[in-house]
Amino acid sequence: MTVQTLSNILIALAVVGLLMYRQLRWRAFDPARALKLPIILGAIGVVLLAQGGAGSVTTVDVTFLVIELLLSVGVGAAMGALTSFRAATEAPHALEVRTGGWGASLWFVLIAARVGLDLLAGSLGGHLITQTGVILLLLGVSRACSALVVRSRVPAAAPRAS
Amino acid sequence: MSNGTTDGNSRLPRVLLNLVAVLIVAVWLLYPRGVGPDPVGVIVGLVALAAWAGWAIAAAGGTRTTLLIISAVAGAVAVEGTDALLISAVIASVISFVAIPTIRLWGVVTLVAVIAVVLGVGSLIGHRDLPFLLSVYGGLVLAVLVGVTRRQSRLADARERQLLARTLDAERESARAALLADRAAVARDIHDVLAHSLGGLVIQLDAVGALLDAGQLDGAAQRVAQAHQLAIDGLADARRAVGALREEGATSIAVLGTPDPTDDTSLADLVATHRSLGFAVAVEGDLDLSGVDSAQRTALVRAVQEALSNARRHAPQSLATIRSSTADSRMVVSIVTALPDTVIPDATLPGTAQNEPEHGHGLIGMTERFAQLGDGSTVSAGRRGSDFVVEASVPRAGAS
Repeated sequence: MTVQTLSNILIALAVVGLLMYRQLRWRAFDPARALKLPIILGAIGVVLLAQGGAGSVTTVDVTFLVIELLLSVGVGAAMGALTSFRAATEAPHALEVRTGGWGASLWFVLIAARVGLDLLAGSLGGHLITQTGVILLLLGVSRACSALVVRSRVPAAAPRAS
Repeated sequence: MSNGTTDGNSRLPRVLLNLVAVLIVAVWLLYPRGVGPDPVGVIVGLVALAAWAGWAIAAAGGTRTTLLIISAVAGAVAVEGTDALLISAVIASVISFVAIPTIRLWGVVTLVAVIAVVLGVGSLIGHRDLPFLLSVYGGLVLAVLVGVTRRQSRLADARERQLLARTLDAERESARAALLADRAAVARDIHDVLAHSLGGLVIQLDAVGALLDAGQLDGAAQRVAQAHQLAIDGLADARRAVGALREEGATSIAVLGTPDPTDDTSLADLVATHRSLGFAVAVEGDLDLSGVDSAQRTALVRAVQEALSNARRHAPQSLATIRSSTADSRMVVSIVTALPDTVIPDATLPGTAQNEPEHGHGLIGMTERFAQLGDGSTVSAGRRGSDFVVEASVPRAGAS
C-alpha cells in the first residue's frame, strides 16, 4: 500500500464522514438545485476515468463498474426513501430534510461493498475499478439518485405548513 | 387492459409474431453447430423460450408479468452459453415488461439491474471479450428505450379514451338540462292557460249564480256568454300549449317563447277582460309596448296577466293600476294594487295566512320567463307600503 493510496483512502473517509455528519442534521432542500453537485461530481469522475484508464478496458472492468453503479443507485434511492421532511423554521414554505441515522449508515454498506468488489476485480485482472475517478462517479450517482427520490417524494410528504 | 392489449382481434398478430420468433430461435438453438452447444445454455434457453411463448399467449395479468420476468432473467443467464442468441428473449421480454403501464419505476429498475448483473457475470465466467459485453448491454438499453416508447403511447391512448368518455358525459348532461328547461317552459304555459282561464271562469260563474239568485236573467245570460268566450279562448290556449309539447327537440322552447300567431293578446285585451269581469283597472302610459321585441312583449303581457289575475283573486274591491313608462332605454311596466285591510286568501291553498297574498307557481313562472330572456330583463313582486306592486323592466332596442 503506497502513501498515495493511503492518503486517497483517508481523504475518501474524511469526505464520507463529512457527508454523514451533514445527513444527520436538518438542512434546507431546494429541488431545483439539488442535482447540481451530484452531476458535477459525476462529470469529474468520468473525466478522471477517461484520462487514467483508457486503452485496455476489459470485460472485468465493465462488469464490475456496472455492478458498482447499480449498487450506488440502490443505496442512493434507499437514502432518499429514508429521508424525512419538515417545514423550515425561518421560512414556512421552504423544506428541510434529514436523512437520519439509518440512511447515513448506508454509506458503510457502499464502502464495504466497494472494498470487496475492488479486491475481487483486482484478482481477476481488472484495473479500472480502483481508479480515483470511479469513487467520484459512484458518489455522484448515489447523490443524484438520492436527490431524485427526495424530489419525487416532496409533494406527498409536504409538511402541514400553513 | 393493464398490459396494454385491447381486444382479442388486435392481439392475434402480435401473438403469432412472438410465437414465430420463439420457433426461429428454438430451431437455431437446437440445430447442431460446429462446436458442441453448452448444455446449461441450451436447457436454460429452452426455459426462457417456453416462458416467452407463455407470456405471448397469456392475457394481461399477474401470470403474464411473472412469465415476462422468468423469460428475461432465464434468457440473460443463457446468453453466455448460447453465444448471445438468447439476448432475443431478453430484449422481447424487457420491451413488453417496460410497456406495461401499471409497472412502477422501481420494478423496472430492479429487473434491469438483475439482468445487467447476470449478463456481466456470465460474460466474466465465459471469458468473453469487451465487444461482446458491450453489445449485449446495448441490446438491453435498446429494449428499455423501445419499451418506454410503447408505454408512453399506451398511456396517451388511455388518456384520450378518458377524455372521450368525459365529453360524452358532458354532452349527456347538457342534453338533459335542455330537456328539463323545455319541460319547465311547458309547465309555465300550461299554468298560465289553466290558472287564468279557469280562474276567470270561476269568477264569471260566481257572478252568474249571484245574478240568477237575484232574478236578473238578462245579466246572467250576458255573463254566461262571456264565460263561454273565456272558455273557448282558454281551450285554444291549452291546445296550443299541448301542440308545442308534442313538437320534438329544441324548437319547442322557441315555439313557447314566441307568441303564437293566432294569440294576439295585448295589454289592451287584458284590460278589457279585467273590466268585463267586473273589476276596476286604471291605465297610465303606452299600452302598445312599442320598442320591445316579441319575446319581451310576451313576457310583459304574461306578467300583467298574472298580476291582474291575482288582483281579482285577492283584492277584488281594489283598483289595479297599470303603468307603462320608458326611462334610460328601458321600459318599465308596473301593476299597482292597493291592498285592502283584509286580503282574501286563496281558498284552494290550505293554511294560507290571512294577510299574505299567495302567488305560488305564477310568480315562479313569471320570474323564470324573464330570466330566460337573457337580456337583463327583471321582474319583481312585493309589498310597497300599502300597495302590492308587480314591476317588470326590459331593455329596449328600438327607438320610442
